[in-house]
Formats: sequence, C-alpha cells, structure tokens
Amino acid sequence: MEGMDDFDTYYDEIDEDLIQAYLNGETIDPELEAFLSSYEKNYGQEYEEIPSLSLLEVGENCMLPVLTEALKVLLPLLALSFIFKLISNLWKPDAEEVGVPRSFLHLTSALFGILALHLVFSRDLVYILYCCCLVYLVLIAVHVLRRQYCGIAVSAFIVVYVLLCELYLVDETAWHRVRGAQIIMSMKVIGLAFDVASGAEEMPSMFEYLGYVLCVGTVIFGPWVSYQDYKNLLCQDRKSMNMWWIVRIARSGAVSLVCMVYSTCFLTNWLIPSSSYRWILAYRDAQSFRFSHYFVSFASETTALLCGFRGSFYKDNESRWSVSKPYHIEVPRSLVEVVTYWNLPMHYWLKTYVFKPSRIFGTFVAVILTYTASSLLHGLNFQLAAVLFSLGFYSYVEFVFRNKLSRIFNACIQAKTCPDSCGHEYTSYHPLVLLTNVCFALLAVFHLAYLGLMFDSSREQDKGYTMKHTLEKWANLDYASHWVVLGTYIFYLII
Amino acid sequence: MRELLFIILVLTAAFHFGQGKKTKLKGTKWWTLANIGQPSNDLHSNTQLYNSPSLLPLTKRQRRLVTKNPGTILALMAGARMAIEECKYQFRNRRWNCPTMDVGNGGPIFGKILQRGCRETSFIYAITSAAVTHSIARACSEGSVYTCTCDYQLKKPRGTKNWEWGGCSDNANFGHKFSRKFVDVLEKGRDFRYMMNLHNNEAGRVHVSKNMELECKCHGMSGSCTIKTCWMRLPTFRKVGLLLKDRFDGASKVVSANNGGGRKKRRRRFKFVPTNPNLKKPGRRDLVYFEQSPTFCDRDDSIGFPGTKGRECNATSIGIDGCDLMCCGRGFNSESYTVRERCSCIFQWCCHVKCETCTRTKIRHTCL
Repeated sequence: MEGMDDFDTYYDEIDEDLIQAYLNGETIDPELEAFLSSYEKNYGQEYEEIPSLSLLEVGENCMLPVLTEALKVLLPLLALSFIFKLISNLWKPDAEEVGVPRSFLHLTSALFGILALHLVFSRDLVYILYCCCLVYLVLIAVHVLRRQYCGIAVSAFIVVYVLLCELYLVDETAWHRVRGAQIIMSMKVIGLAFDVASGAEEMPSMFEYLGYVLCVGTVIFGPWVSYQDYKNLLCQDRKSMNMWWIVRIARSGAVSLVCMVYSTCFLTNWLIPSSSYRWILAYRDAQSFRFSHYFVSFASETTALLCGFRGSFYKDNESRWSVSKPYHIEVPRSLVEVVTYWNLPMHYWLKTYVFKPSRIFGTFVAVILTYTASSLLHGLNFQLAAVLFSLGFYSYVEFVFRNKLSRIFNACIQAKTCPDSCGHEYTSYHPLVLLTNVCFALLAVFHLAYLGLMFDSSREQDKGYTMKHTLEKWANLDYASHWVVLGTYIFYLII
Repeated sequence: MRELLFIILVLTAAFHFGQGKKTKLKGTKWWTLANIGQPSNDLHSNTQLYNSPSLLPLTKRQRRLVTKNPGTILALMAGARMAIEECKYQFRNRRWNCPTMDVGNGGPIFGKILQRGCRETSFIYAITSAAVTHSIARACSEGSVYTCTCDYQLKKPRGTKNWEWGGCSDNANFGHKFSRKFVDVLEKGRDFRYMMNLHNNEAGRVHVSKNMELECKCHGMSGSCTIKTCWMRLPTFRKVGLLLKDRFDGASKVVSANNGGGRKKRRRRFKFVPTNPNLKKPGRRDLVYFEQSPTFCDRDDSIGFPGTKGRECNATSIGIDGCDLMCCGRGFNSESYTVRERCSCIFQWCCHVKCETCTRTKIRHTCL
C-alpha cells in the first residue's frame, strides 16, 4: 500500500459517499446519472481505427474554406464578364447611325481584362502585358515587311519569350501562376497571326487586338476563342440574354464548383485514404488532377458564356458548347478521345494551326509536331513534356493498333467511334466488340492514372514539378504503363 | 487506512455485483464501470491516465466537465488509448518501452514512474494531454461534441501570405481549452513537480494546436497554379508523437527559478532554469524534467519497471535497440525458431493466387 499513499492527492476528490450510495443501490445524484447515461449510450460502439477524416469534417473544414477561396476569385471575374456583356449589349447600336464607336467596346474589353488579371495575379500581370504588347509590335513589323511570315514570326517570338521567362527572367512561382493565362494568350496571338498571314483576317487595329487578346471572359482561364468569335461577340443584340443562356451559365458554374470541391476535399482526403494500394493512389491523384482541370474548364466556360461567347469554341458541329467533356475522359473509349475532349478549343487550335499544316510531312510527324507545339506552349517543363510526349506516343500507338485490329476482325474497335456507315461486319453492339472496347477503355484508364499521378498536391505544385519528382513517381510504378505501350507497339508491328 | 478500507469495499462490491448481475439494473451499469480497471478494456486507459485507483475513473470536476460537454467521454476514451499506443510506438526501441501495467485494482497504468520527475515522466504527461487535445478537437470537428462552436472569422495562420483561413478554426482551440480544464485539474499542490507537470501538459497541447497542417491544391490550365485553394487540418497524431519524441530527446533538466514577488495565483508561466547554464531556457514547447532517469537496465520496483531482461533486441544494430545497449552488457540469448509462411506465390489465370507454404528459420535475440 506504500505506493498508493503517494496517489492520495489524486483521488481525494472522488466522492466516496456517492460510491457508497451507489453500491447500496440507492439513488444517485442527477449529475452522475447523466454522466453514466452518456457513457452507457456509447459503450456499445466498437472502437476501431478512426477513419482518416469524416464526411462532416471534410465538409466543414475543407469545403467551406475552399469554396470561399475559389469564389473570391471567381465572383469578381464573373461580375466583370457580366458588366462587359451589359455594356456590349446596351451600348450597341441597333441602328448603325447612333452607334458607340467600336473602339470603345474594344477598349472596355481590354481594360476589364487587365482588371481581371490584376485581381488574380496582382503584380505578376506585367509578364502577360509585356508579351501582349511585344507581340503586337512584331506583328506590325512583319506584316509590313512580309505578310505571309506573320504566323511563323509570332510563333517563334512566343517560344523565345516563354523559354526566356521560364528559364531566366521570371521567378518560378510567379511564372507558374501566370502560365495558364500565358498559354491562352499565346494561342490567341499565334492563331491570329496565322490568320493574318493567310489573309483570312485583316490586320487588326491596336484596340481590336487588345480587346481580343485581353478579353475579360477568356483572359484568365481561357478558353481559347478565335478572332472571328470575338468579332461575332460584339455583333449580338439583347436577345442573346435569354433563359437558355442563364441556365447554361448556372449549370457550368455549378459543375465547376462541384468538380473543384470533389478534387480538393472529397477525393484525396475522404474517399480514398492515403494508405491504399499504390495504383489506387495513382488513380486517385490523377483523378484529382483531372477534376481540377474540369473545374478550370467549366469556370472558363462560365466566364466565356457570361461575357457573350456563344457556341463556336469548337467548330465541329457536335458538342459546340463545351470546353471539356468529363464523361468522355472519366469513361474513355480511347486515349485519342481523351486527348480530344480534354480541352476542345485547344484541340481545335492544335488541329487547325499545327496538325493540318504539318500533315504534308506524314501523320506520325504531324502528331509529333503537334505535341511538340503543345509542350512548347506549356513552357519547357520536363514533367509536362514527358506527359505530353508519352500521351502523343500512346495515342498514336493506340490509334494505329486499333485500326489494324479493326481491319483484321472487321469490327468497330477503332479508337474513334464508328460512324453508322462504317461498313464493318461487327458493329458496336456486338458483345465481343463491346467487350474489346471495354478492355481498351480500362487500358486507357490505367494509362491515365499513370500519366496523371504526378500532378499531386506536393510542395512542388507552386513552382512546377521537377524532373526528379516525375521520374520518382513513375519509377514507383515501375514504368508499367510505358512498358505496356511498348509491348503493344511491338505487337502491332508483328501482326 | 482509508485507502485500504476503500479498496476492500470496492473488491467486495465487485464480487457482489459480479454474481448478481441481472438482479439490479443499476448495479449492472455500475459493473461496466468497474470493468474499467480490467486490462484489454478501452476504458482501462482512462483510469491510468488520471491516476485514479478508484472505480469511477474521473474526479468530480472532470465528471462535471464531461457532463457539461456531452460527447466528450468517447473522445477521451479514444484519446487515452491513442496516447498509450503512441507512447509505446515512440519508445518501442528503447530500454524503457513505455510499459503499461495490468493492474487489477485500477493502479496507474504507466506505473510509478509518474511519481518521478524524469524525462520519461515528462513525455507521458505531454503525450496524454496532447492526445486529449487532439481527440477532443477531432470530435469537435466531426460534430460529436455539441458544445463547441465554430467562428468563421478570417484568420491568417503563420507562414502564409495572401491567404486567410475561413474555415472552422475553433476546433483546436476548444480541444486545447478542454484538455487544460480536464487534464490539469489533476495536478495539485504548489511544489516543483506540479509546475513541471503542468508545463509538460501544456507543451503537449501546444504541439497539437500549433501544428495545424495547411493543405493546398493548385488549379489552372495544365497543372499551372492560377488559383490555389487551401484548408487546414489537425496534424496526425503520429506527427505529434514524433515531435514530442524529438522534444523528449532534447528535454532540459531544470531547477526552479526564484520567482521573486510573483504571487499571482494560478499563473501558468513558470520559471525554470536549466541546470546546465550554457543551455537556453526551456520554451513553451520544450519538455522539462528535474530528475535523472534510471538506467532502466534491471528490474526496478520503485518505478514498476520490469527491466530489459527477456526483451528482444537487434544483434546488428549499434543503436539503443542493439543488443549491446539494450541488454546493458549482460549479453543475450539467440534462439532460432521456425515460421511457416506463404511463399513463391503464382497468379493463376483467372483469378486466384496459388502459394506454397515454406518453413523458414529465423533468429530471435533476447536479453539475458
């Protein structure tokens, strides 16, 4: 009992009378009763490992702050877009004679764009503005001297500018922030320059140029719109603000936010805990990245719609109103389809300005050139380049392989959906064709998980990922997907 | 004498109710509480955590606190278990491996080492109060404690630019305050040990509430970072345990400073002076102790430590888990034993895995 004496001080508060009363089966005081019942109520529960985070916890601690933050950026942007839409509508001359000068509208567009840039990037917007102004000087100079070289000159300038910024001039964190806006702008000016070179467009005046390049609805998140779209935008009347328009905007906005919350909170912290199997983790990180991309795509769709762009982001007739199509990416038919639906305006841009002109060198070279252009646009980042080139090779292999199989078996198992008039013996509804396509879809999901996993939330996301990071992530999965594709390619060559 | 009577009373009561389980409903309730003293029971930890040899694991004040904040009792149970697991994990390779005792009559779970003032004591105090903070804060954000509320004020956490935390920021605060009320209440007296314990308790709590983790995600075209969304979450308890273990390794041995005219009651700032004048004064997060730890080599009944005899050790390591240090130079036994394992597994199409059973010989070293 010696040891117990020392603990005297610890338990002198305990009511011995109370315990005595309890032991005698007498009534106890209500306080203890309440305590006992609260204890009793929960006693039956099993105490297993506490899950990583509960749904409510994620909701309260993650969803709210994350939504607040995203809205803090998005709402001003949407407001600016909407005001621009109002100005361009209300002040637009119905009859030609009482018109506000067009240049006023272009100027409003540019000013609002700069305002938006300032809201999002604060001081870092100068890199965008520099580029914008310098490109115009180049464009004027080349236009006067040799009109047909406008496109080439501007592209070369953009590549040099982007590389200089990336490697020497700009702090990597700042550059990584503005890179998205820079890509959109590069696409706009290169497209415009090629159009001018081919004579499809007249040389724009300075106001027109600034209005187009800095247009508020597309300057931050995109999407890429052609100069023609921009000109159409200013020719709309008030009827364009109809119910359908409002519904579209609300839908895009809502989808965008849902994707963001899913990507940031629910997927990584709640749905799939970090202790899962590595391939599941890869799938999780890749999916989180994809949903983050959908967020950006739908946000861009919202702003673009709000400031009046209608329906020609993408000129093929089907699906004219989307920037990205999550359904076709999450449940893909093939990687070729994923690449297409990832960013439809960008896909269209690459197709028009890179793939088609370079087709004279052969399809394979054209594909390689397209992906080179794409990675140059994105800057000289090993990770992006590695992913893009892998994707290029993968989709090429997949395309030719499935084409060959399709010919051999005379079945609809190509990378792209068969048109009704394809004339294959086995159409898409044949069970074996379905099965094959499902297998190819699973293969595509596997490749996507492998390619997308390195865009994770590690420390490097602020500055851009390093080569080491990329290779580590892939080595962790034993470069499995690369081997699979290589195997497929060899198999393709053999058959 | 009082204690003795009490224990006898308790034992008879336990015996009595053990037999007549079904006769009195209230009695059964009481019996579940009496079960607390048994090992392998979740509530076990509570008893020891608060050093109460009584049947009712909580003191009057604690009970009042728990009753006022419904839902906390579960968190406390989870927290206490978490503390013990973490302590065992952090010390698994040391001579003192955080032994917990199966004391039938509800003795202190960590043993009499709590009466000492050595490093290990300070760690136990810190980890238990940290665990209470952590699990209460978690319960709070899970919504299972009704009395804690959120304020959605925007606050700027340390080390972040341009970012304001708009989420529920009070959970960690609530946990901290609750733990203060709940754990510190056990410390009585005005002596040096009391000061030390309170300081170490606070150090444990600070490690939880100041280590909220900022999680961010970038959104932008092609993985760029146009928008960054962030949120904060509690650190994992493993991380808290690691940090506290670091503090344990760097804990300072202190003596009380003469605090001149400071007569304010209930002041939480204590003045410690390190015994080695070259060291800096212990901060809020540092662990302090005033007594040299025993070697923990041999059985020591005064702290209830069984010694390292029979402990498994690593023959190849030169660290503290190596046989030389672990066994204090007494040497060690090596015995080989066989295990049956699944091996050379082959995946068979489709879809099952076929394995063979191999027997392997392994060697186990135990201290003499």
